[in-house]
Amino acid sequence: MPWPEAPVVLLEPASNLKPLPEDKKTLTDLIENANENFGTYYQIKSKYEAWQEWYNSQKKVYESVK
Amino acid sequence: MWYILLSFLPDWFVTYFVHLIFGAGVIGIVAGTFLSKVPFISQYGTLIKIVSNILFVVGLFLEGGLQTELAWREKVAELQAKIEIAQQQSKESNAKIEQKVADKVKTIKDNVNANRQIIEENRTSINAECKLSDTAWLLYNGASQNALARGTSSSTGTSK
Repeated sequence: MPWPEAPVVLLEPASNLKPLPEDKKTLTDLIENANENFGTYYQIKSKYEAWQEWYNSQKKVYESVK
Repeated sequence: MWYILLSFLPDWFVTYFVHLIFGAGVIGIVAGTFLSKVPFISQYGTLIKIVSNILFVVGLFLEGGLQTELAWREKVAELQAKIEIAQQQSKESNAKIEQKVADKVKTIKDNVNANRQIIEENRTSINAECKLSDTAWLLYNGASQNALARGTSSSTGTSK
């Protein structure tokens, strides 16, 4: 049985959290940056969960062939 | 080598060929037995019996092999069908996962944008009484980049 293909979206590299630029030192800059970084975290989390789902579904499919 | 050649032949051809040899052997034995009792041509009957016996033995051997070959082919076909179904299921599962991730990412981005707008609306009031110190800025960046925030910013290495 050929190796199963993973969804393309899960093969994209994970983005890094963005640091706060040196010229941005107000509280709103901090909150904006945190807001963006939290968004990145949740995107990575959803992809991580999707990998787990992918593994479990492929395992089920593989076991049905045996 | 023989098995590889055999695997290229269709089932019906192999089956008929083997049945033909076996059938010719059986018919030949009967015919040879009958002909060997007929005067003047009895010598041909003996020859036919010898050839038929060889055909019968070879045919019997091939009949056994044929059943095994067909059983294996059936198993291979069964497994191939299962693999095709599995590949289809795998594709469907991937499509579902991709859709799910796309939906989630869209919701996340929408929320980030909505929050950004709210921050923008309240920019003045939020910034009114607070400005980040250099230490706070350094600590924040150290935390977000998973690096130690002690000293200057040049000493903070990321864990990429």
